[in-house]
Amino acid sequence: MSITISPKSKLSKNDIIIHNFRKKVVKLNYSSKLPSKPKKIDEASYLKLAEKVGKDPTFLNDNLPPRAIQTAS
Amino acid sequence: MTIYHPELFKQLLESTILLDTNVFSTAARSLDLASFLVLLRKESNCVFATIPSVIFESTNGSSSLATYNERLKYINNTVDAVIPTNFIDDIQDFQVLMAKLNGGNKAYTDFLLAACLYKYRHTNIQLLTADIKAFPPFFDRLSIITTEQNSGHVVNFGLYHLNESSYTKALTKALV
Repeated sequence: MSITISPKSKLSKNDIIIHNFRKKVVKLNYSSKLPSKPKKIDEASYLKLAEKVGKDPTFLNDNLPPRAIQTAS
Repeated sequence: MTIYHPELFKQLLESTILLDTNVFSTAARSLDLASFLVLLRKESNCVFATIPSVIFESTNGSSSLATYNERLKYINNTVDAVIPTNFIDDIQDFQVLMAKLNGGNKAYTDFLLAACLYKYRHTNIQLLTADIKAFPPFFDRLSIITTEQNSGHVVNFGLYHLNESSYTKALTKALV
């Protein structure tokens, strides 16, 4: 397996193709200072997105006990 | 339905609220809590923050880039900033005390969230979490919020703040 930059035609089946991966990931706002003002969000679209994420059964399965209980058992 | 103290919005005026992973998991399964978070931000003019470890937990298990991005977008829309936690090497007193008093809780994310409450203790910062037994007694619980998931499951959240006086007493005692 190798990571390489080469014309597509020269790639073998074991090569990993990374093409602008960073640009494809949603950017988060990292800040070492605490933010001073809340941003404005569109409530309807936020609720819709939350609901969509919550429907994914692999998203933070709520049947799991809290961390403190997991580590104590 | 989400139940909270009638003075809560006033108490949290212009504060920073640090969100634990269980806030994201519950809000995604509770229209009540998600709506409450929107209302809280609007009424209290407070800001929501979280840490990279919570993002790791929330995106863990994403089966595709699209799923990963959808989760990140949800987190991004919920919080105003992600606070880096690379300061922990500078707070060894806190590390020693947590190692002694909170040794039963091995969860690193809990430790990092608690560390943020310590580092930013002179600001108006609170942690919102459903892990109500995860922290030692020098963290004061300011309020309880009870909400219901769409499935009917009831979840209790606590709002925590570091009590500096209790912390100093505990540290003095621990170092003797």
